[in-house]
Amino acid sequence: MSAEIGTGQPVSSDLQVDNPVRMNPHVTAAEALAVFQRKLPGAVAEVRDVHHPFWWACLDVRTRGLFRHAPGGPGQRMDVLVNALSGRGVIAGFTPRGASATPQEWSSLLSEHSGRMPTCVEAERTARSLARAKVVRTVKLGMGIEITPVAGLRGVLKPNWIVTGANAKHSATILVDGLDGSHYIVRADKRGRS
Amino acid sequence: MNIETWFLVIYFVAMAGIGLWTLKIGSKGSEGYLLGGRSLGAAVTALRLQSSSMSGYMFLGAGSLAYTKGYFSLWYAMGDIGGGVLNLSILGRRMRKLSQILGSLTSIEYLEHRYPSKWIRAIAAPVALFCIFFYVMSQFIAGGRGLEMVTGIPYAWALLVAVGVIVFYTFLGGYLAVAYTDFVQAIIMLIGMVWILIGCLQAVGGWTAGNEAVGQINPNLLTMWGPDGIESVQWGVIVGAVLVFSIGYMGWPHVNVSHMAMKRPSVARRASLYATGFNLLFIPAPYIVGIMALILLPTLDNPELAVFQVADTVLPDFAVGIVMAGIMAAIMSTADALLLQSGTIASQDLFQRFFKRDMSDKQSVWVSRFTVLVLAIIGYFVAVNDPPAVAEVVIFSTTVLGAAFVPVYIAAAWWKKANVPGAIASMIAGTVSSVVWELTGLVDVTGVDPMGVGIVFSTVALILVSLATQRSHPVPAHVLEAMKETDKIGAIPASMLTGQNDSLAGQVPKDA
Repeated sequence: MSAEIGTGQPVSSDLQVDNPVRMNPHVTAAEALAVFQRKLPGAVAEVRDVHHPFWWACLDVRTRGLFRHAPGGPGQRMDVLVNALSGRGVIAGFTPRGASATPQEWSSLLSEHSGRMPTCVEAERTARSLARAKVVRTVKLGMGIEITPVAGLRGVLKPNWIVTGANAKHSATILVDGLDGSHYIVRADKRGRS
Repeated sequence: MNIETWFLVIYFVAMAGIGLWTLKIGSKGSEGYLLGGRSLGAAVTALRLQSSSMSGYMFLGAGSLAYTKGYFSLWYAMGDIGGGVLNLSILGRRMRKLSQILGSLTSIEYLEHRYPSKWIRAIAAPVALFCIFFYVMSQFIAGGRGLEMVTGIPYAWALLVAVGVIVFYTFLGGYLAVAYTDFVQAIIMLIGMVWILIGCLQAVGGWTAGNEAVGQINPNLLTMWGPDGIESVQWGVIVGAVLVFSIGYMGWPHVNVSHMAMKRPSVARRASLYATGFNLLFIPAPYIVGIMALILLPTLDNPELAVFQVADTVLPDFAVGIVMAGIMAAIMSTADALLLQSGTIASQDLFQRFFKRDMSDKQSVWVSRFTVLVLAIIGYFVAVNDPPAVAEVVIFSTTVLGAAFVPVYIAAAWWKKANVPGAIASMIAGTVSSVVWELTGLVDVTGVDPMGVGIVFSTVALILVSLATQRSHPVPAHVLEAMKETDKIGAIPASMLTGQNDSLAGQVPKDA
């Protein structure tokens, strides 16, 4: 877990959170290793867990008729995760659950990042835009769409796996999503070349 | 009010009722209402594809072509009959598979994912919007002409009612009116058209007797070479006529969405069988009715009304009402889908993407509403003041869309070297060449159809520019991997569905 203890500058107060959620991985270390070995057959690799900070917006999305001012009935709940470093959002098909983490863990992950980070306002706007884009695709123009946050933004530490290893021909590092097992190739080299 | 008008009024009220009911369901926010899926079977895919691409043209344009050019018009029918099968065979399975691997939901988004550049969307969206506007306008004219004939009210008022009903339906129709109603419309269209054809052939004493009578008017009308005979044939125009609807379909963004909505890639095979069956039954009918109208209605002022007038002449009143309701259903479903798509393109693909990224929920919907209203108003004034022929408008917009998009859609699924600069060059070359060819009158001078020219220009541009820029703009590895998987028959392996996830790029720790 040492990878997530940052050593950078302190983050500004508006990016700090009180009780972030540390999610547990759905994908095990062995499964992450299997993903790596599927890309690099016969590879020997080491796996370590890392967490990535996300803003979590829980939104209530309702549609209403053209002639009705107030939406009726229960809305649809959407959980949107916004990358706290890059600002890129994704609609989660789940509600983030896990153990409580300390605000220091959250701050240290943010402080590792040297570039510009999205503010809370920007993160919420991204979340609402995503939810809206999803709804607008399927409803007719006569409908109104109302998106209201169920609660304020919370911090979520999303689990991932870093797998580094090599077989006879190649060496590589990949990042495996700790929730769905998808991967991103961070680095891949032929053996003997830098 | 005559019985035909009553049928139409009942139909309009029923459609509005369904729309309001759907709104009520929607506003209850039932779980899953907002979420769609790739779930359409073969029959729905095939008939939706056909009904969303024909509609008003078949009832006005096809009859008009046949009335003025005789059996020459069957060149268009031939392209039309083969179009659905070609489209499903060439694009169907591959586009379905590739779009799922790349995670695309709309056909323009699919192009942008396959050719990853914002310029793809920046070019494709306005071209699609431009052509969709013309196609929608042709539906307005068709609706107005139909109402004018049935109700007897002046064209300007009939057009206003038709546009009003279509816009009203676009605003109020619920999601029920999207895929499955297109399927129902296709069946209504088929029944209505076959009914008119049977009534028409009975009235002229059978097909042989009808042909003999047409031959007495002008023997050339019975040939495939046009009213002036084989001496005046322009082969380039004939090739273009076949191309327009045979491959032009593959350029329609709203038609290609059907591929992406299929339940499984393998559905494409069976869907092409259904499409062929539908086409063989439906497509020749309006052309034959248009030709036979020369006997039944020799002094018709407006050839576009040939099918309507024949229906009015040969069918009993109640049947005319039912058939007219079916025709209006077809026109409305197409216009509604196109208007909605144009609203989405304007708000999502253009406005939000390029002008105001932080657009709010309300602003986005209002941009869509505003776009639909503006298109409807412009469409009304163009259609009421100097209405162009439906066939001309449909053929023009299909030509431009075909020239702009057919090569990029086909290459997207089949050619691994097709890259971003190639796709951009192809879309620009196809659009510019076909529009210039049409507007400068080069068709008459050269005898070559703009469709053929546009396709040649856009294909050559795609190939040459892609090959020349392979080093500077290689096709991304994840796209190549997805295309390799698309080559194979069978389900998408789980490893591809959980494949290289670019959003993870933003989660790589510094010390990785």
